[in-house]
Amino acid sequence: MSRAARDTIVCHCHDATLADLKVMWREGYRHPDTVKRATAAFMGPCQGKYCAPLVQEILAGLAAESGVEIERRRPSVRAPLYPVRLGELAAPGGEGGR
Amino acid sequence: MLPGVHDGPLARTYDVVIVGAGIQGVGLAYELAKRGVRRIAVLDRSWPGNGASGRNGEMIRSAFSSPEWINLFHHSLRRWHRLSAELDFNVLFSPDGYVVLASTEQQWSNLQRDARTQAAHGLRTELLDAAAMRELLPAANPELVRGGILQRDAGFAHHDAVVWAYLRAAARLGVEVHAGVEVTGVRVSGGRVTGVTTAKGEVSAPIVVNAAGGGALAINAMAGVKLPMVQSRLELLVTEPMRPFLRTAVAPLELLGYCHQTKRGEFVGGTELPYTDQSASLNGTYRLLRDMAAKWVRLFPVLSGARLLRHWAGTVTQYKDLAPVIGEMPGLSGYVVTIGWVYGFMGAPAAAELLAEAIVTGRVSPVLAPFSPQRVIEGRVIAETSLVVASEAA
Repeated sequence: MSRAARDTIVCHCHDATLADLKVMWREGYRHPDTVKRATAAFMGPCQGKYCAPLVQEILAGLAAESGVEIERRRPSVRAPLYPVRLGELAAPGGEGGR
Repeated sequence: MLPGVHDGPLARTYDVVIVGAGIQGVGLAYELAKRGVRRIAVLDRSWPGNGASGRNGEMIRSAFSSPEWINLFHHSLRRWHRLSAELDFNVLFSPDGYVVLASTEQQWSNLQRDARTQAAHGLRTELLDAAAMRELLPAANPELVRGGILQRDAGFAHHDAVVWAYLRAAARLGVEVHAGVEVTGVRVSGGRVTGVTTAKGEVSAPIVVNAAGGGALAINAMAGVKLPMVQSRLELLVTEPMRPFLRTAVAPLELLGYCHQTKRGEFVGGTELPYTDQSASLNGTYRLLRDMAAKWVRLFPVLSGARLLRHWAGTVTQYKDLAPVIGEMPGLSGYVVTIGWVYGFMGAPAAAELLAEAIVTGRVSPVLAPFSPQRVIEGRVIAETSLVVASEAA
């Protein structure tokens, strides 16, 4: 794996690198939902907003290189879209959020 | 899709077909292959682990209240300690302890009774009074800590990794795990199962195992089997990583909840409302999200400032006693079930091994026998009182 791949961070929340994605692809994690679980991309506090387009582009490239068909989409989206504090959910409008 | 998933075509004949590539299905396939069964296919409509096996609270204990649960789950706990080595894959098992927490005098008194039963069955669990438990759980709201049971060698593991580990190990032994193959029919002839119909053609097999988790009742219906069980939905949440504040897994009886903090720092917790949520939906509900947030912030006030990262749901199939239903179906030779799992993640290593043993030798272990389909047909229940999932039988 090239140094550039090892040093290129794709998921800033969990420090998942381009190399991590390539290694997992080689091992056989080739579905948006399994790549997510294998690399933790999409699973950080940004809710995948930063990494999703990058991961999709990289997976599409790897798929084209290997000549395989993959599902081209984001992994299943989990609520919430924006990370809310539990205290705000427990007592909406209250002091709990601070 | 996943390492170990078979990419060749489906054969026309197998010795065993397993429906469902969750932890029960791939675990059983591995154990059967280990015992010399040659042609095994595991069929899943999605990818392995996409059902409850990848959605559960991933906690592990054997500190239950009934001899039946204690024996099965203790067998499993012993397997958990060796699983990473045996499967040659790190399942991130963390034996950091498991606490069943009492908040009321009644719960405390029940747990004292449970501890005696556990000791009589050879479990090394400890009763911690309020002071000792508050010391063990310094982040917990002392008002909710009356005492509890600590099982030091129990804990939690990483649910995805466990499915991957069994999947890879099974594939190395020649098991074919087919993803994206939906079973549309179970073929039966003269009181015997003869195979399954799939979206990719018919497959013959003298043994068909229903390990379909939340989808188990649909498979039973295809085989003409009707059991008084329901599909229900459970929900869970996870927060952003936090500074370590919780070492053990905790099941607070008062909250009908279960939680732990992962090694990455995320708090993972689920709660139940006091009724069975009969649903096939994989959508989380705002009602339960509020319930979870309120209960967990109450137990661990430090969570008030923690950001929610994800909230999700999974489904299980359950009988009224919440115990699994495992074994060959009376009246339908070759049709085997391992269904009704609500505590299936922690129980899988034992169930897979013992069921494989039963299928290969025809002899059912006394540890497995109480969970037979016959008990459900007769309407009998296993009385287990230390569960944190709602049941009409409790």
